[in-house]
Amino acid sequence: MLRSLPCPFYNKGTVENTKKDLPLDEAILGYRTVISFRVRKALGSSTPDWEDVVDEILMQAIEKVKTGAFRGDSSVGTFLYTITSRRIIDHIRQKTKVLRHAPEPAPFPDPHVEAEGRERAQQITTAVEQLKPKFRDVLYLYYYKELSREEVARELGISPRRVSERVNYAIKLIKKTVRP
Amino acid sequence: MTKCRYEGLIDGYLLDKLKPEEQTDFEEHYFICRSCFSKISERDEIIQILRKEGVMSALSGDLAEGSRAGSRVRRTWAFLTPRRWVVAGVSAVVLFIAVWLLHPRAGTVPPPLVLTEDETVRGGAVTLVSPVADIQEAPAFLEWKSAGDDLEYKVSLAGRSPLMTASTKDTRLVLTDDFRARLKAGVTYSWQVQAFKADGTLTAVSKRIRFRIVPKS
Repeated sequence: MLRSLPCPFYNKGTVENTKKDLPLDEAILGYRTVISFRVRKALGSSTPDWEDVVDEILMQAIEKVKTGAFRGDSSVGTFLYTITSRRIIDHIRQKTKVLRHAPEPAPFPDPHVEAEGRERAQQITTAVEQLKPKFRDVLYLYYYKELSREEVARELGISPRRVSERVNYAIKLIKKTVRP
Repeated sequence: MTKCRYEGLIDGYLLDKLKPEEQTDFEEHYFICRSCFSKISERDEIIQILRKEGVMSALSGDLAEGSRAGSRVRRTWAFLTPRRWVVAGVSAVVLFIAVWLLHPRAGTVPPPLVLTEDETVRGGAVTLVSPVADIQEAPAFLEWKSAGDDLEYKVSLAGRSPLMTASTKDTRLVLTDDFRARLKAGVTYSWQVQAFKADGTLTAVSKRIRFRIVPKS
């Protein structure tokens, strides 16, 4: 059971421990990235108001701290995770109701973000092209075709363990190229 | 370096392949584990760009073809173990011999069925019915058994020298009185029948049978 396996980083470098000397509301704001990731994953990056949802979550968390609803029985991370999950569910329910009446128009794209994204995509494209075919093959089958490790292994005639090794190594090489 | 035990779930999470309970546990975990969250963010960024910007789709033709061709070759080589090579070789030899033995090598060339006294019939045979032994008077007909459908029979009769050759599709050849009158008592005669297909191929031959006319005393 996953829950019974403790994380070795929990007591060393967790998000929580790095914020333990800060006031609680400031520490909560430090979770914006994590909460944003979770919200985007649940709602999709194309959802126009995902950032509003994140803001609402943070405000709700700070409010609970101020009103004493958070007593510190659980970790701040767990506390925020719970609020985030509930807010996502609420948002999806609410969104479903709204969409029944009229769909919202797509957001106007930010030119700076777009340019940055294009540049990054180009870097990754170059990095992928420079990979050896055996690494490109696993990335293609594993991430693009979304085959399981075992299916990729069968397709390429290698072991599932070797598939994982090649995927991890390929990602490592791409990161190295993109972020020198 | 110590590795977080949840790290193995990163790809499964990003590719939506985790079970619901695993996903919940993992989401709760990365809210408190900076290391895992950092790795998730990095990998997610790469995966999103790989998919969204069509990087892989641009390469997919080559990659897919390369993968398929490569894997086909690898699978074939993996399948052909030394033992299977031997079995395949022996099977090929046996098959070749079988085909060689069964192949109709004669083709449309007529078989060498021209018989003499000492030759043996090879191929189909025509069985002669009458006369096959000494007789008391000249035979009124020569008769044999059918050797198949749509055949033409060539009948030859000889004494000291060839006397007659005739062709018929029947299995009996009636001798005229004039011809019978030419056959003399005490002389040994022989006759033979050859069967031909419509295209002229010799398919069957009878033995050359001798007979003598021995008048009743």
